[in-house]
Order: sequence, then structure tokens, then C-alpha cells
Amino acid sequence: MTSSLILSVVTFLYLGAALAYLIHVIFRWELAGKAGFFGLVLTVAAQTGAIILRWVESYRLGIGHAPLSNLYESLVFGSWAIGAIYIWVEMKYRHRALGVFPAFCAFLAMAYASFDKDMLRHIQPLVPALKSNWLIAHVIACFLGYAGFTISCGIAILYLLRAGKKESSSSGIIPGNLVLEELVYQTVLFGHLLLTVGIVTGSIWANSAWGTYWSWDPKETWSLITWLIYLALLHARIVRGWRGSKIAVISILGFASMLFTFFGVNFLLSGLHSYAS
Amino acid sequence: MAEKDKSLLDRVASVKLTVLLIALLAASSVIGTLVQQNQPKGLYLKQFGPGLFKLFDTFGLFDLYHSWWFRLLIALLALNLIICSVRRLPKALKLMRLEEFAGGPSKLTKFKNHVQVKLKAAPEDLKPEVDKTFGWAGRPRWGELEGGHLATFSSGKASRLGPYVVHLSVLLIILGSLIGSIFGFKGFVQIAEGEETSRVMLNTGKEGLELPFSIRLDKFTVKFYDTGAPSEFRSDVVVKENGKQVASASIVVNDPLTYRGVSFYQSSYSAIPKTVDLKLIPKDGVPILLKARYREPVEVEPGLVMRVVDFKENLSNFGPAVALMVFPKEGEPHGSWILVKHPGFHGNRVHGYRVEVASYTTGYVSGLQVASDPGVWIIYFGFTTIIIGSYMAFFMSHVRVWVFLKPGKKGAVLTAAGTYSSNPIGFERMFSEAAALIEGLERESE
Repeated sequence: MTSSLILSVVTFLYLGAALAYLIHVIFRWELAGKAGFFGLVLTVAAQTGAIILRWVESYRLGIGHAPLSNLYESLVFGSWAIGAIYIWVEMKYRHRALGVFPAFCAFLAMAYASFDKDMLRHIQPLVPALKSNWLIAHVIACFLGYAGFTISCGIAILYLLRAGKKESSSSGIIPGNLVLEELVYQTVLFGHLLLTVGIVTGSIWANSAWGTYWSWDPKETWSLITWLIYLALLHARIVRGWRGSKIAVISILGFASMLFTFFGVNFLLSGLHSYAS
Repeated sequence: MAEKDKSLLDRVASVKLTVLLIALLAASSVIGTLVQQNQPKGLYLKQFGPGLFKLFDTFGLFDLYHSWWFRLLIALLALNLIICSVRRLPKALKLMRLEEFAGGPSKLTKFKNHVQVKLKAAPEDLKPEVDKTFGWAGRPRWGELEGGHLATFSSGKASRLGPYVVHLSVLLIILGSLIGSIFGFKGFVQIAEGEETSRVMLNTGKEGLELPFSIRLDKFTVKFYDTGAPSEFRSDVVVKENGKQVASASIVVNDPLTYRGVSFYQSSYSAIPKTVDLKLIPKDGVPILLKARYREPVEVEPGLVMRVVDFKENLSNFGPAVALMVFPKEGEPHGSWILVKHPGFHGNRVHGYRVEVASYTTGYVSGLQVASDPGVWIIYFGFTTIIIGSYMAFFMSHVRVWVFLKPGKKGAVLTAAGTYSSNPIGFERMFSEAAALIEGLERESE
């Protein structure tokens, strides 16, 4: 399958983009930043092609469905979402130094998808429960939200690393603390809205498949926990006026909860979402 | 006394309490995923020992999400939301109406985002330029003030209502789930092909529920992919009311049948023998040949009734087996598993007969989840509005920009200032771009 081959290459392209961004930040070398950005654009374009190709391939196999149905496909889409949304953030806010963390996370997701020995990488037919358009909306919304949280966490880490130092140490490459803090918040806003859509569409899907929109299954519950953590962040910031390090710490905590929702629940707790493992 | 009441109300309405409740709900949900929920008692006793079991049981940790204290947290959150919203809504409505700039044009330069330039053109001639440059902030309204012209741009007013829409949605979702748990039910039916039932086994207890209509399973089909994975489970059913057929449908996973507010969801299936041809061989005498229908009584000899009560496609790796029960007039009913593929098996005996299964035909039993939830539409409405409300609150911004044009010595003095309710990066970029355009206009010569 051609799509798998392209996706293996994409894995290394993400690593390359992450390294270029890292060189850009450490050595304040403008060209490396440009290389990181255009490398990332190329990577996401190739990955988009591979995802579409995998979709086409599934139809050629006679079991056509959107490539969003198992752990492998969701990791591929997840890394795509991180790459695509980061490109959008960089173009919108015009700061090149924030790419290290998202590009590296996208690389890790792809590396896990491509090289884990237990990973089922071939296209599988859909079992009856997964035959639903709500599922497609659910997976897309959740992973776009997760991508927002990933980018937010990266900026929050950068903020905390920088917070101890004086503002004057800014080289012009890394944005000032106020901008970083605002970006942590803006990306959480995006992630939280998309996670809301993800939980809602998942809930509607559950109701059409099992007749119950919420059953406190561990995955559902952990997605709610993640949602609540970011909800606390929003209220603390908007109404209580929390800023800076406190907000950055909650963003990192939310990211940890998100990782547990996606990976921890699959491996440590059992429940309805066994399809995703 | 009044003072004390006020402080209690203040506390219930505080955002501190909101954040505390959110944190408590999150923390207790974590516990609920670490302690497996709704398992048999014995399993917990084995896992935790009697001491911890008693403690956990007292706090309802084994059915945490339905425990009194978890419900209390949700009720407190609802109360907090209502009081918070009611108290803050008037302020938000006031802010929405607030467009006129009260302080007078001279105060505009006090804003963080402002620009003041002396320009060559006359105030009237600058109006179209101002409309164009600040068009992103809304539609302008021009007025006369202190001998000059004041333009007021305003947009995204609705964003002020966003938080209230979200809070109302959360209350609707809580209300919907409450209505569902009071007026709805969840249960299960198992129907064999060709059979009809109106009785639902409820999930909550042993008792059943009689529906005002019945459902008949005509055919159950299961399809598989080449890989062996299932591709479709389908129950073709007919709904009958007062002896008349009122609906028919093919129920598949993700596509339930709903009749009179009761929905049926494809959930499970099992294979059963429809008819079993039995050969009963007495110690001496002529063998008796019988055709038994699944779970229906059949007379073996006067006063002795037999039933096929169960079926296994593979019993302990001995292949298919049927369970026979005999009900003698006197004495206890008794029975045995009869191995189909091993007619010589010594256990193939019931009530003194050696039994052989000559042949059997199979059919299916379909398991359907049954649910009635009158609250679900309120929940779906809440789902829709929570997304709209979040978008309003966080992705729209109540932007207000004022531009004051005053005659200068020769040309005009332009003062612009603006403010926003959210998204400072976006606003500040737009404002500074507009300011740069204004500053690029031809200046008044000194």
C-alpha cells in the first residue's frame, strides 16, 4: 500500500521539521525557522495526500470508509491535525519559535503509529457499531481539539521556561511573555470548543448505537475530566483573573489528562472504546 | 440577619465555588474510573477486603455517579450557575447596550489602543476613509459632538450573551438527564425468530415492563467479512398494536426503530434450535420419535411432558448440545445435556430413556436494547446551544471603536480609540493596522 509508505516518510519529515525549529530557537538562525515552517507545510501536504490515498485504497478493497476507524488511523489523523493547526497558528500570529513541541509531538504520534510492533496498520473493515457518520464528526472534532491542547501545552512549557528569566533575554525570536500567555489561552479556547463538539457528537453516536448518550464508561469519563480541567482554566482566567504561570500549569495538566484519555484509558482501563486499541 | 443571608448568597454565587465544584467533579470522576463501577459485591470483597469494602460502600464508590453526594455536587453546580447567571446578566445586558462613549471625545486618548493624527483633508472629506478603514469593527453610526463628527463602530454584541447561553445549556442538559431518569426507562428484550413479545426486562431490577404494543421478530441476519469480523447484525421486526400491524423495520446497529417514544437498538444475538427431532429409546420397547419446538412442551407419554430448554453451539468442545427437561406428573422436573454429535455418550439419558438427536434446524434469538428517554431532545437542544454559546463567548468579541473628527487649524484632527471584550491579539492587530493606514494619510503641513 502506497499510503503506508508515504506515511513512514512523513514520520521522518516531522522529525526533520522539529529539529529545524529547534535549531532556529537555540541558535537564533532565521533560515532554520523558515526551513522548519516550509518543511512542515510539505509534510502536512504529503500526509494529506496519504490519508486521501488510504481512503481511496479502502474503497478499492471493497470496504470503503473514512480512515478514522482504529488506533493507527487516529494517530495518523491526530498528527495531521497537530501539523495543520500549528501551521494555521504560525500564519495567524506570525511567531516561528513555537513549532518545536507540536512538530515533535506529531513525530512521536507518527513514530508510534508506524513502528510499534503490535499496531494493526492494514485497512480493516468497519464493525457494525462504527458504521455511523457521527463517528466521523466525533473523531475529527476530538483530534482537532487535542491538537489545540498540544500546541497550547508546548507554548505553556516555553512560557514556564522563560518565566524565570528577565523579559530582556528575549532575542526577538521567542515572543514576549504576554503574547505567549495569550496564545496558551487562545489555543485552549480552540481546543475546548472542539472537544465540546467531540463529546457532543460522540454522545449522539452512543445514543444511536446503544440507546444511551452517556454511560460513564472510562473513556467518556476521562474526556469529561479533561473538559472540566480546561473549563476550570477558562473560569479561573476570565472571571478570577488568573494569568501567567498558573494558567500555563493548568494547560500542561489538561494535556496530561488528554494523553491519559487517549492512551491511558486504552491500556489501563477497560470500556466501550475498545475499538481504538 | 440580612447581612448573613447576603454573605451566604454571595458564597453560593461565587466563581470560586464554581471552580471548586468543577475540580471536585473532576476528582470524583477520576475515582470512578479507578474503582470499577457496578460490579458484583463478591468481586469488591475479594479486591478490597471487608474493611475497605464497607468504607467504599458507605460512600457509594461502587456506583459513584449515582451516589447522593455526586448528585449533590451536580445540584450545587446547577444552583451556582443559576445564581451566578441571574446576578451577572443585567451587567452583560448593560454592556451590550453600551455604545455611546460617555466620557466625551477628549477622553479617547486615555484608551490603551488609540491614535491621534493631524490630517490635511477636511473632516467631512475623511468620513469615507474612516468608514473603510474601521469597517472591520462594524457598521458606523455618525453623530455630531462638540463641533466635530463622532463615528461609533460596534460589532459582536452577542458575544456578551455567550456565557449565559452556555450556562443555560448546561442547566438544560442536567434537566434533560433528570427527566430521562424520572420518566424514561432502559431495558432489554430477547426475541426468537417468529416470536412476539411486549414485555421488557428493565435494567434497574428484576421486574418487567409491559409495553402497550408488541414486537415480533421475523428474521435475524448476521453477515461477516472475509476476515471473519462481523459486518452487519439485522433484525427484521414488525410492531403490532391491538392485533394490527402498525409498523415494520429492519433494525441494525446505529439505526434503531422508534415507536411511540420507545426505541429498540440491535444489541446481541444467539443461535437456537428451532425444531429438534428426537429419538427416545426405552430400555425395552419401541423407540419414540418426537419433533420438539424450542421451549415448547411436547408430550412423551401420558403424564410426561418434555421441553428443549437450552442450546449450546459447542458444549465443552463436544460440539452442539441441547438441554432437555422432563416434567413428570409426580416428582421434581429433571434434565440433562444431550450431545448431538456423540449419540453413544453415557450422559445422553433422561427419565430412563436414551436420547439421540436425529436432526435439528437452527434459528436466531435477537437481543434488543429498549430505551425510552423523553429528556433526550432537551439534551440535544442543550448540546446545540452549548456549542453555539461557546462560539459566541470565545470566538466573537464585542468590539467598539470610536473615531472623532474635529476641524484642525487647516485640516482635521482624527482621534480613534477602541476596546474589545475578548481576543486582544486579534483586536490589537486590526487596530494597529487601521492606525497605520490613518497615519499614512497626507498630514497637515505644519
